[in-house]
Amino acid sequence: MAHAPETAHHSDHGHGAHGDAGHDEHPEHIGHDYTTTGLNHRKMLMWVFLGSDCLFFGSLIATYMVYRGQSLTGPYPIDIIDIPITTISTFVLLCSSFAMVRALAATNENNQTGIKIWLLATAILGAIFIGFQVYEFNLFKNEGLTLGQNLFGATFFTLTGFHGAHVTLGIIWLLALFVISFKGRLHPGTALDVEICGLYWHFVDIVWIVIFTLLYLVGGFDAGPAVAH
Amino acid sequence: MASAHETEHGSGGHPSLKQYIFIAILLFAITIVEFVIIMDFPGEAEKVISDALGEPSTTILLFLLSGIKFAIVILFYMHLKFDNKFFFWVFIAGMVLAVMVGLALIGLFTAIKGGDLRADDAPYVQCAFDHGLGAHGENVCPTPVPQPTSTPHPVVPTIVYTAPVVAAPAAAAVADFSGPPDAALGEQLYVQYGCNACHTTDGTSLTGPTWQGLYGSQEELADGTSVTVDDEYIKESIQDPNAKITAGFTAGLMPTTLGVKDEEIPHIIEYMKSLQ
Repeated sequence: MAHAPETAHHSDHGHGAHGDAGHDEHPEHIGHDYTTTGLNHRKMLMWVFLGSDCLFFGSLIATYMVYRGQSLTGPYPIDIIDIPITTISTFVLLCSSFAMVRALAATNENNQTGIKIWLLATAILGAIFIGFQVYEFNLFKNEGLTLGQNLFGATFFTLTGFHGAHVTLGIIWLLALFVISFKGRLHPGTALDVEICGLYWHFVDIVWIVIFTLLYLVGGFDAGPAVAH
Repeated sequence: MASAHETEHGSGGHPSLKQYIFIAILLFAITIVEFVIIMDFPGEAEKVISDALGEPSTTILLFLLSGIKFAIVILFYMHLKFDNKFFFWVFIAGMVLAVMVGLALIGLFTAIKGGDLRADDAPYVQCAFDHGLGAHGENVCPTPVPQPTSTPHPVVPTIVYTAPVVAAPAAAAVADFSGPPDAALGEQLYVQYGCNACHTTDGTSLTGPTWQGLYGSQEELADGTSVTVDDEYIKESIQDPNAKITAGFTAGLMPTTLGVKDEEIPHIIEYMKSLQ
């Protein structure tokens, strides 16, 4: 890896040029990728993706809200939603965001040990969150709540399931970076690789903040119809 | 944070480790506050807040707190406070669109009849599609539709409306419902009113409960109680289908405009009795 990271990170939009694998062979004559906005293309791509992912989750959340309280058969949220357990898993995800921030800081400081520790910590905390979700899904299934049981089950599992899929993808991404870090490929010159992954990871975190509030704190006490009219 | 990572806008770069730790503690603290608000702790925080600010305040407070968490993460963890403003607006545009799509969806599903689109509306909506409503919304449904008497109407899952077949004048003139309950007459009515679209006589469960073995049985209702299927219950279920809903079935799907006459009901009950 013939690399001259110093040549490339004078500004926030330049240092990502080296992150592209194809550029590694000739780093000397690449300072900035020319872009019409002056902003790094890959970072821009991630932000555009996150903006559009808002629409994805927005629609699923809206669907949950539309059908909230419309289930005619149980189990209803109040029967099975466990707020204390989910508060713990929310803590875990918040911790993972902090670890992600530290991983990026370590990359910018070229702290190789720190990079590995914090990337792995982020991935493990994410995996613990998924563990909580698997436990919760399994518990709900045993209580009789399935995707097809009622409107609550359908909208709940679709929304939290897609969030879980996002977290899982993030864990794979983090582990890939973790493996790459052993080849010495993460350093200030390639910090954008870690930063973009971090953007994705924090986004998954904020989506959970919204889900936790709406489905657990606010919607967790919803019961079924008092009397079918 | 490495100084090399500062933005060209000179807005001070990323927060220091100390600031990040402070942010993390702040996020934890807000989550704990949310938890305390929600759970009935000895301090009865929820009650105190509700008393102080009114009933919906708890929900508003929770939205506010999670909004603060959301903002902290995107501004500091995702560096939007320090990064180029273009990224900020790209993301905010997506968020605003998402909120609008959400509100549009919620509005779409609550606009009809000025309330929630409930299952009771489905027959009318479907009927309007099939037959059209009058200019002033008068119910031109049910419209007489030729219906095969031998094969049951195809059933579309969940939202199904079968236009009840109004008895042809000739048949109505012939049939005499004033006599003693007659299962054969009941069967005729069963087809005539389109009951067969949702209620089978062979034990299969479609949109509505099967009639086989129904009479005299104990039915568990959606509200957890149970009821014995007798004359009284059947009469009520025909004339006011949503009064009691059998567990596992959906309220509002059975049309309330069938127009089954009082003198016809005993024949239908007699037909049910024969389906044991």
